[in-house]
Parts: sequence; structure tokens; C-alpha cells
Amino acid sequence: MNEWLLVALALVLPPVLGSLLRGLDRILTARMQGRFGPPLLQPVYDTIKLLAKRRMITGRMQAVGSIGYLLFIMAATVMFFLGQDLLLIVLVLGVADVFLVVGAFATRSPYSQIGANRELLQILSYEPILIITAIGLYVANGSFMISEIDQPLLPSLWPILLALVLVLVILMRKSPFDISSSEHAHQELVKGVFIEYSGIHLGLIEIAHMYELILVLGFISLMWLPGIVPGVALALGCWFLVLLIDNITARLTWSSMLKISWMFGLGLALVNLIGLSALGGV
Amino acid sequence: MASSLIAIAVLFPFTAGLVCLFLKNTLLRSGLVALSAIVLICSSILLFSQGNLPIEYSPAHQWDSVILVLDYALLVFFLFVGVKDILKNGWSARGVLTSGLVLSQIILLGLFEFVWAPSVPLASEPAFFIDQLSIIMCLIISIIGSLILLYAIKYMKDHEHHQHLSVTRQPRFFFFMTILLGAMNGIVFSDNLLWIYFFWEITTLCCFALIGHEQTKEAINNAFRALWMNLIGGLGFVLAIIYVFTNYDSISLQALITNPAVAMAPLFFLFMAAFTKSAQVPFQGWLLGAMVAPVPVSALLHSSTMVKAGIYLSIRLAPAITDTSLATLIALFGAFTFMVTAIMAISQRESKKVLAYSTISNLGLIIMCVGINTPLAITAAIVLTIFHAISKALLFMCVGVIDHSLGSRDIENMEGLVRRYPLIAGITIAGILSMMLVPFGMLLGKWAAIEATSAMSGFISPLVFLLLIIGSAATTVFWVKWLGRFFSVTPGIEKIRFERFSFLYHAPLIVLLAFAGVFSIGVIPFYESFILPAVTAFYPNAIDTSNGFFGSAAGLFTVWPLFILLAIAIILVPVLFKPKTKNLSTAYMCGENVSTSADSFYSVADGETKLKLGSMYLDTQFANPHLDTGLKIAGLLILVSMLVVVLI
Repeated sequence: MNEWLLVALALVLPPVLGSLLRGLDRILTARMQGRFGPPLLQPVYDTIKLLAKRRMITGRMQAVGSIGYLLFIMAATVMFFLGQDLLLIVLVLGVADVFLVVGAFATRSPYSQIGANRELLQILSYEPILIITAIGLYVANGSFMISEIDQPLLPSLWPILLALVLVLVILMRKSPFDISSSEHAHQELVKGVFIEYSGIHLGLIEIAHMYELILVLGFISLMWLPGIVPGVALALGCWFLVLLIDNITARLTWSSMLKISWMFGLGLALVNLIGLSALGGV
Repeated sequence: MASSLIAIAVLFPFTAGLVCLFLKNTLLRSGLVALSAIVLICSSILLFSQGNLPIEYSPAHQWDSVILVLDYALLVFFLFVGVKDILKNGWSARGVLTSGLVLSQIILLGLFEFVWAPSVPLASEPAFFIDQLSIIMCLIISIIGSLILLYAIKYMKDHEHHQHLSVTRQPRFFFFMTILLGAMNGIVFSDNLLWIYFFWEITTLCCFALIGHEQTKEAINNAFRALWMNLIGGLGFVLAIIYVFTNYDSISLQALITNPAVAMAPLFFLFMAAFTKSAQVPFQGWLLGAMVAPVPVSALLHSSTMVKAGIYLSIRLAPAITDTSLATLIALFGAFTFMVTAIMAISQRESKKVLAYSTISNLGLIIMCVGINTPLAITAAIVLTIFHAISKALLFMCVGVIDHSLGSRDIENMEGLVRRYPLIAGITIAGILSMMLVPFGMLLGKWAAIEATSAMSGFISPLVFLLLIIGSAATTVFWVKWLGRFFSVTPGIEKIRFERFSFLYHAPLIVLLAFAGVFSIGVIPFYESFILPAVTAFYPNAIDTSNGFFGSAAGLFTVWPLFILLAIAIILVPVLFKPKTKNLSTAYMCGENVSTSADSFYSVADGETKLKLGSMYLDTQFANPHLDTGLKIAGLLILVSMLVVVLI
């Protein structure tokens, strides 16, 4: 019975928390830029409006892309809440992204396809870091299962945490790594990978983003278990760091993204694992 | 019963192949090829179902002499090929390498058999030793190989129709295709190293002949490359045989593996043979060159035969290298191949090349698992071997059908294929998904491989992790890029009209697709009844299936809930969400859309410009020759370090 409660929480909590975080994100960003910003619940209004709009599509694959994306991110989130295998969760998250990219490729549209191509480069940048996070979890704790974390991981895995911040930047599609889709539509990239989606399908993707955001913040919060509070505080700290980075940097090219994430992100993770193995694990 | 089934599995293809060579009538020949396909499938299934493993069996001793004679005949033929090339085309690297490698084998083998050990063969040993691993391989070879044979009947007819040949070259083609299956069965059944070596060299011969089938300059060149690279492996084999016999007084593979005090040197030589056969970096050149051959050849070489001989040998030798530094280096070597070829695949435009790189990459992953050498890793290796054989055979044959429909194998030309050829596009897409998407069997294998690798310790392990994770992400990238091309269509509603169903083209594909799907969904019973006995022959069971999921000691792979989700997303959703004209919108082009055409925009001076799109290939980054050479040297260095470790 308890498991079903967790499943329900996994399905309900992320859209709620995600919307609030997105609202807060917009307010904080506005304040950093000397603007006032929208109300806190603006993302909720936006999403509801999107869901209520008349359905306009370019083809059947858009439905497959958006619904598949949402379904598999929800699956990954549910598995996360159930304390399942972190490596499998990362792979399932990969499936979600495949749906997103194929959905974007499915329309012969210049912006959408540029976005899709670049989204692939983003996968190339962040997926290795997520997998090595799972490996790090195993090396530090002896299991891939989230439910079996029994000690604070931060002391042994802090370099991997820094690498995860990079992943957060990429997955929130924030500067300097907003290369597949810019946060704001009035730039040369327009909305990249999401440009062809509208109405309910864009709404579903927005909801999927909220799950994704909470999921990656969840990965970060794993670093400081047991006890929910320190982990959540850590995740929120990283989230705020990403906002700061977003507001003080401009978009980089894909090759610098790949270089930074492989050299800096994977470098940190590698140093972390070498350190752990030199110390003989934990 | 068992002995006659073994005889059928090995000898029938040879006999049928020989008859094919002299059958001029196309219909009769096709009938014979189809018959041998059916016989092979039936005999392999009967062998599987009769149980009582392991089977040890020695045929009459005359066979040893037959094999001895044929072995030398084969080597003399290779020497003749090499010398003839030198006489005809002057001194070239390929001629010298071929003749030199063959000559050294002839001399060493001659010295061994007639001077050092004239009492060989030893009477006490079984020539054949068949356990569950052999049975798995035999089923892969016989069933998938036979499906490819059936497909080849129609493919070669169409192929030669396009070429307007005056004399058909099909008898020769089917001769080599069929005997390749017999030789492969011989490899996986034999326990006598001399026998394995003989069958091993026959696969080299078939490979040489089939790659050179088109007789163009490029084909002959690539055939020679395949020949000399595989002869390096042959030389490794001879050295291993001599070492094993002089030190352990036996030429049984089983005796070698189960010997607790076995030296590493012969194992290294055998692994060398496996690496050349499986086209690991730096030997990847021959498999990439094999692309010049007709599609059924590629399908056969890449999925169920040839490269899988190397994989079989590696998995077979795995128990002997547990906890050695050779194993660690093999893991590094495999992971290295896995990553670099996955990265290289991103920069390929030709579909067959992408498939070839992906094959080498996956073989690297399997070799890595052999090096990791834990029960979980070996399980992963076998799972990957089976599912890779199914999906890769499927994809190669799909590319062949697409090529015959489209006249091109370029991925960019496959744009919007879901509308133009929905049937074959659908099958190909399903095949690609089975290669790259959780929860299909390939990904179960990859998941198990990553989990097994994580348990690796020592200073090389972080490097292996790094290669593994980057390779894994790169794999997703090149598959999705290709998938994207299939789906890329201009907004608009057209009635989907399936192309004509052609039995010999589509039926083998659908059978393979069904295998990939059914075995992936039912992976738990499949594992328990089929894979587990092969693992437990040498290792303890590493998988816990008691709760209905695929659980390792440190993780859990949930299979069916993910399949339900996948079915909803890719079957239910497209059925439910049919686009209607009133909902249809055009692509965004900054408001410069042309009203009369959905895929044009107003460009400079209001000129109407057709939209051109494509994937990125990053070829300046990932496909330059310097990088290629550097990576080959790196691969070679890992091999040299293996040799150093083995010798000290």
C-alpha cells in the first residue's frame, strides 16, 4: 500500500513543485535583470492555457514524441520515488529524450531539425555524466538501488555533484548550454527542438520538463541522505546556482559545450572515482 | 542421435555447398539452398531439444587425416593466392603479408605435426565437446544464418538483374555462403584445437571469397585486407596450439580452460585470433572493407557468423583468465573499441557503414565483458551476443531491401521513408529501436555490462568507465540521427500505402523482429531456460529472477512495465491521434512560408527556395584520417601491453 502512495506522490508532486520552481525561477531571473517579473503561478496559467488551446499539429509523430517523452519521464520519476536502480532510471530518461528528438526530427522544419541535431549533442554531453553518477553511487555505496543508500554521499562524491550541476544547466536548457532551444523564443534559434509543438502537445512537454527538473534535483538531493531536508536544501542551492550562471553567461557553441562537459564534468567524475578507488572505496 | 545431428550441422552445408557449385539451374539451386536452410534450422533445434549436455563425441580417426590434408590444401591455396598477387601486381604490402603469414603457418604447423609431435592426433580426446554455449551459438548460426540464406536467394537474383551479368556468379556465391555456416558450426562444436583451427581458416577463406565477390578493384583489395588480417589470427592459433601441446601434452580446448595453472601466453595468442576475427581496433579495417560485398554477405559476416566466431572463442576462454592482468587489459581493449567505433559511427552517412561501426562497437562491448569476467559480465556478454545477432542481421537485410527499392544506401536519402516505403521503413525502425531502446534485450545486456563494470577495481577501472559511458551516449546519438531521417516528412496528410509484400524479403525480417520482441519481453524465462545453463557451466548464477524482474546483486531491471509504456507510446498513440486536415499546421519558417508549397520559403529577393535539411555528421571532428591512425596505434599499444604482461 505504501508503494502506491509513493507512486501517487511521484505523479502529483513534481508538477506542483516544478511549477512553483519555474515561477520562482522567472521571478528571480527578472529581479536579477532589474525587472519585476510575472506572478508565481504564471507557469501554471501558461500550461493550463496551452492544454485548453485548439489542437494544431504537423503530423502524427508529434503526438508520439510529446506523449512518449512525458510517459518515460514520468516512469523515471516513479522509479526514482520507489527507490529503484539509478542506472536504469538514467537509461529510461534516455528513452524519453529519444522521443523528444525523433518528434522534433519528424517535421521538415529548419528550426526544429537544428534543435533536434543539437539536442543529440546535449545527450552526448550530459548522458555520460548521469551514467557515471550511477557508477559513483555504486562505488561509494555498493548498490545501484536508491533505496539502499544508507549514508551521506556528499563527502565521497562531491566532485560528481559539481558535474551534476552541469547536467542541470543542460537539462533546464539554460545559458550557456541552451543550444538546442533558447529559453526565450525571440532569438536566432527561436525555440529549436520545441518550435513545432503547440497547444496540448507543448503543454505535455512543459509538464514533462517539470518532472525532469524535479528528477534531476532529486539526483542531486541523493547526495545527502538520509533525512529529506539536507538533500532538498542542497538541490535548491544547486538550482539557484544554475539561475545565477544563466544570468551571467551567454550561449556557447556546441563544441565548447561538449568540451566543457567532457573535460570538466567527466574530468571531475573521473578524479572522483580514481580518488575513491585509491582510498579503497567506502 | 546427437552424433548424427552434429554430422548434419557440420557436413550438410559442405555437401549442399559443393552441389550448389555445380548446379547450373537457378531453380534447382535455390531449392537446394532453401532445403539446406530448413535442414540446418531443424537439426539445430533438435540438437537443442535433446538435452543431455555436455555431449562429447569423436568421429572415426580417418577424419583427423582428412582434416589434416584439407588444412594443408587450404594453406597452400592461400599461399598460391598471395604469390599470384605478387607475380601479377608486383610487390605490395597485401601480397607480402598474405604470403608471409601463410608461409609461417605452413612451416610452424608442418614442424609441429611432423617433427615435434608426430603422434598427433591424441586418441584420448573428444573431437567435439558441446555444451550450452555451443548450442546457443549453433542456434544463432543455423537459424539466423539460414534466414539470411533464404533472403539471399531473392536478393542475389535482383542484384544480378541490376548488374546485367552474362554469366551468373551465384553458384560460387552460394557455395561459400553455405559452407560458412558449416564451418561456423564446426568451430563452436569442436574441442580439438586443430579442428577449430581448420574451421577457423575455412571461415577466413569464405570471407575472402565473399568480400571479393564483385571482382572490382576495390572488392579485391578489401578481400586481401580481410585475408591477411584474419591470417594474423590464424598464426596466433598455430602458436597457441604448439605452446599448449608442448607444455600440457594436449590439444583440447576444454583441458586448456579447466587447467588451473594454465600459462597466459597461449591464451593471449588465442585472444589475438579472436580479436582479428571480431575486427577489434586496430583490425577493424577488414570488416569495414567487407561492405563492398552484396548485402547478404554483410548480414552474415556481421550477425551470426565470422565475427561471432571471435566472440564465441573469447567467451569460451573467459573462465581461464579470471583475476589476471590479461583480463583487465582485455576489458580496457574492448571498452576502447566500443567507444571509438561508436564515435566514428556518428560521422558516417552510408547506412551499411553505420551498421558496420555499430557491429564493431557492440563486439567491443562483449569483449569488454569477457575481460571484466564476473558472472554478471559473462551473462551480459551472452545476452548481447544473442540479441546483437538477431537485430544486426535484421538491420542489414533491411538496408538491402531499402537499397533495392531506393537505389541508395545513403542515410540522407532515406528522408521520409515512412511515407514512401512504410512497410520496410517500419521494420527497420523497429529493428533500430531493438538495438538502442530500453527495455529491449540489447539494452538489458548493456545495463548488465555497465553494472558488471562498476564492480571493477584497480587503477585502470576509471578509464574503462569513461570509455564505456561516452561510447554508450554516442551509440544513442548515431541511432537517433538515423531514426530521425526516416520520420522527417513535410506536414500534410497522405494515405499510407504499403508496398508489395515480398515473401523472401519480408518474411525473414518479420521472423527476426518477432525473435527480438518475444525474447526481450519474455527475457526472464528466456534467460532461465537458455542462457543460465551456459553461464553456470563455469560461473555461479548472478541473476535473481524470483520477483519477476531481472535483478543483479546491486540493481534491478524492470522489463514488462517499460514494455507496456513503450507499447502505449509507439502503438496506441499513433492509432488514437490521427491528424485531421483542420488541425494541420505548416512548419515555422519565420513567416516566410510559400502559400502553394509546404516545404518552400521566400528567400533573398522573394525567390522561392526549396527547403533542404539533414543530420549533422561532425566529420571534421570525428572522421579525419589522423584520428583514425592515432586510434589504431592506441589499440595496437593496448595489444602490445597485453603481450608484455603475458610474457613477464
